Amino acid sequence: MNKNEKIEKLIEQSLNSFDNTARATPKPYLLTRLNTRLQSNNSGWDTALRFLSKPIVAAVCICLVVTVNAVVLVNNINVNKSTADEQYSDEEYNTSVAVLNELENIEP
Amino acid sequence: MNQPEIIVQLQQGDEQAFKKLVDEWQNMVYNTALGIVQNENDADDITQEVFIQVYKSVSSFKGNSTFSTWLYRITVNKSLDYLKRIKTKNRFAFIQSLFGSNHYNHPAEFVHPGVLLENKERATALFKALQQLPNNQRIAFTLHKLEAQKYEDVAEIMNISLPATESLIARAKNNLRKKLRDYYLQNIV
Repeated sequence: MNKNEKIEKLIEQSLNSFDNTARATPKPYLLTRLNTRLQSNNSGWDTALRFLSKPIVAAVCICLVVTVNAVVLVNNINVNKSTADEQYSDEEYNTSVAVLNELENIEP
Repeated sequence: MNQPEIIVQLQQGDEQAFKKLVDEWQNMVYNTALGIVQNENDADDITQEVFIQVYKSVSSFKGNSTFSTWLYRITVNKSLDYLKRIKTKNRFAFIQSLFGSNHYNHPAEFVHPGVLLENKERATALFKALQQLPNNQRIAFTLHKLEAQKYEDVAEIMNISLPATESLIARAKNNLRKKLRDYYLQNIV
């Protein structure tokens, strides 16, 4: 038998190797494991997590977080701007005595 | 107890009916999942997922197809979901392995526990070749050869026409021949 014939024979044997195969059986106590899993699936946390992991819910949540962050950021910029204006005017017209005292006490 | 009776009882929430259903169909579901995913632990996991889905969605079973077809469809879909997850995981692990961490999961050789002893070596080569087929060819071939389903039943399970099923299985066999030839050229000769 030459090389090609040998390979062809092996291929045919392989393609027919599933013939008369017995069905494989799962590990014992499948029903017990199923019941445990069904009970744990019924817990509130699991339902909540499954709801949150839905793509549409997840997308809405991400959009909400981004929007809230954007709003907070814009508000902070406005607040900082107005604070800076106030500080500038305070420094410009600051004539408090404490500052004058400090200037006098520079030299020992 | 015949099938429709079990379904009606299950739809009414009968726990005993669920037990009977699991007893009767667990081997079929497990064997199908095992043939597709080629890993015993994962097939066991998929079997559980299938029965949980059956338990939860039995009320939506209208009887348009036979119960076994419905169950096969759920099993095939769950197995395909698993293969998709594994593919994504392996792709990510492969990228990680490029950066040093060594978690890349090479598919191991699979030996089906029900295969006859004299066929084990050839069956292992066939399972290896099956891993390289497109999913639809893999499913059609597995259902036909491992679950001994007729072409008509495979067509119904996969929701395709009979000629399409015949062509799918013929293409699967041709592709398997090519893969097996490569395998034997490398390993035997």
